[in-house]
Amino acid sequence: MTDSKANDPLAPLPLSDQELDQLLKNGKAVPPAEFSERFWQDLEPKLDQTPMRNPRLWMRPSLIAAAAGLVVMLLAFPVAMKMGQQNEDTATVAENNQPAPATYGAAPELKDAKEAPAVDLNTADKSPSPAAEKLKQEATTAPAAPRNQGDNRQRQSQRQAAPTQPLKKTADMTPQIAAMLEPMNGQVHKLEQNRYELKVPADQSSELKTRMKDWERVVPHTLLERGMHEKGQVIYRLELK
Amino acid sequence: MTEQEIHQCLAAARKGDRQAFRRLVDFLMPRLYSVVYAMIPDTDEVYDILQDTFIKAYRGLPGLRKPEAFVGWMTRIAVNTARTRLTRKREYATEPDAQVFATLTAPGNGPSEALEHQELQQVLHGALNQLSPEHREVVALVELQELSCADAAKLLDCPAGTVRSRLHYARKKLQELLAPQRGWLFREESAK
Repeated sequence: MTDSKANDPLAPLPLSDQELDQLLKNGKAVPPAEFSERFWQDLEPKLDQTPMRNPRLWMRPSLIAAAAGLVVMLLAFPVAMKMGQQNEDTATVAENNQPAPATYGAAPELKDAKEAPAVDLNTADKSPSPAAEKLKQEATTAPAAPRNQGDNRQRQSQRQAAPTQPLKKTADMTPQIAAMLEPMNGQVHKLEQNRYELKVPADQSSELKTRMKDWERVVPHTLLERGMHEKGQVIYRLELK
Repeated sequence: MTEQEIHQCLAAARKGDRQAFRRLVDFLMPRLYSVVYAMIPDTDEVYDILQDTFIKAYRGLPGLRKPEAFVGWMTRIAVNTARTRLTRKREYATEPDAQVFATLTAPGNGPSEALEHQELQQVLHGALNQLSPEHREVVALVELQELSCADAAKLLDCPAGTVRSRLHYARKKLQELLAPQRGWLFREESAK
């Protein structure tokens, strides 16, 4: 561009240094009179004002509060997660302490059940286990994360509801079942609360199933055939729900 | 205003003397105006920038560590405020301010001289406005505020060599841009 200008004979010669200096000296911008007059009048009241907060967007108080809230939430989240996990673990431990449900081929349990001392089931139900006690204490004292509140409440309500279950479930059903099995020459043996072992002759098996189906309307239960034939008898496992 | 008077006013202003601060404002405002106007040729913007500059300065007076550097400190505040404003509004490379000053206060000038001065400013700032913001800054500080390159470099937080280089190219560009106006600009001189 400079070269083209230099080659152009009609292009005006640039100003000399002296000319430019003179121009810059004389061409300084001067504030207009009205500008100077009102300048102090406008400025003075502003000097008394309290310093404005930094007007930058990120420094606005509402945004600071929101950011602080977010930080607190982010910090609290892992703690809440941990506490929820602890509650869950405790609940799992308590559940594991409770008797495991029956499975096929659990012969030793059957043996244990035979040897198990008779316990007053009603009183046993009413006295909570140490694990349950611990759970109850934690439920009332430990703050739980929102995510786990529902679960905790559900567990708590289950624990609280347990002692007030209908008698039908907690009461010993052995006489009733024995009476039902009597016409079939069957026998009933209580393994533990709500779990019974039924023995009926193989030829009475279908009769038993029919009867139990009818009885299920009164007492919800599950009847499982253990598949163990002993002296021509079929063994069933009955679990009341 | 002598340097001694500046220091006296500054000392009084730091103790809360509002009138002393006003004297400093009256003394510095025209100087800072020419600097800021060279950077942003818009009277209203310059007005706001200078208002902000003096408010910041007033609040910063108690923390001023070197009273002898007061003028430089004020210039730095003004330039930084203008820079911030310039960053927010990058479209200053349009038309320069209309410069419709009803009455210019060039000392000792009559109305016709004031009008000529106004025209001269229009031409000069029209050319300045075609420079980059960095080049305008150095012209404003070194040519208009009459700072040394070293002082301007301190103020702009850049090496003195950079200031010299920018100044060289800015002057060269101005000389080219103003060349077509030579006949008009120097007619008075040649007539005399």
